[in-house]
Amino acid sequence: MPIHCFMTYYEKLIRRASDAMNQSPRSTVVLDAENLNILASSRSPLKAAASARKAVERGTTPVIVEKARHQENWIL
Amino acid sequence: MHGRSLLYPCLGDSPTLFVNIINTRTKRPQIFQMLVDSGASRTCLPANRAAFLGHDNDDHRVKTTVVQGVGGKSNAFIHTLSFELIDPEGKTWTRLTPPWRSRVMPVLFVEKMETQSGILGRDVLSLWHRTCFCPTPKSLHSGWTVEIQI
Repeated sequence: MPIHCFMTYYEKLIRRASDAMNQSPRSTVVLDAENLNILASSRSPLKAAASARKAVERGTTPVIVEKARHQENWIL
Repeated sequence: MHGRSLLYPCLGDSPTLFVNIINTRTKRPQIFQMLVDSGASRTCLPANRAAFLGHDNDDHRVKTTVVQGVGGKSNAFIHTLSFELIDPEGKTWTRLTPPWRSRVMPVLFVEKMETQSGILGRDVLSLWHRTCFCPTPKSLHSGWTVEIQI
């Protein structure tokens, strides 16, 4: 049986988000929370925001993911 | 004895969680990545994230403030939202029951915030009983596990 059959939803979300970020490392990616399919991917945050709002209007819960652009260390 | 203990594998090599952010007006959730940061006094997001929630930073009714970070001072827009933790044990989306929700609270949307994650600060962390950070270097997709006791 495939390993993902034993994973929780949250573990699948982390894995899918990580894959989506690595596929489009300079874009904001919008996923459908239910099936974790990519709804939109854009380098423009405004376009990604419009896609997320449209998803909400359709009754879908969007997941917004974006890969960290900077490799420098944080001191917060 | 406190309530439930929740274990969250984190996104990448930082203690970053996915949380539901609930739009106060529509009551609909959107899921955002948020760094758990005990060094931040207030929860904040990059200013451009307001548009995802249908909030307009330029609306004259939006209050603003000035925040101070390592990078210096920045203008910040204040919007009211609530946060929900995602059930870390549910197997499918349809079976998830959020284990915790915040009250409606002011959240800062910061102009000079050049991160891709939001930050969950001490105003949210103080609403939980305990937060623990556990490194998980052998995990492929997740370098940290965060344990939250609610």
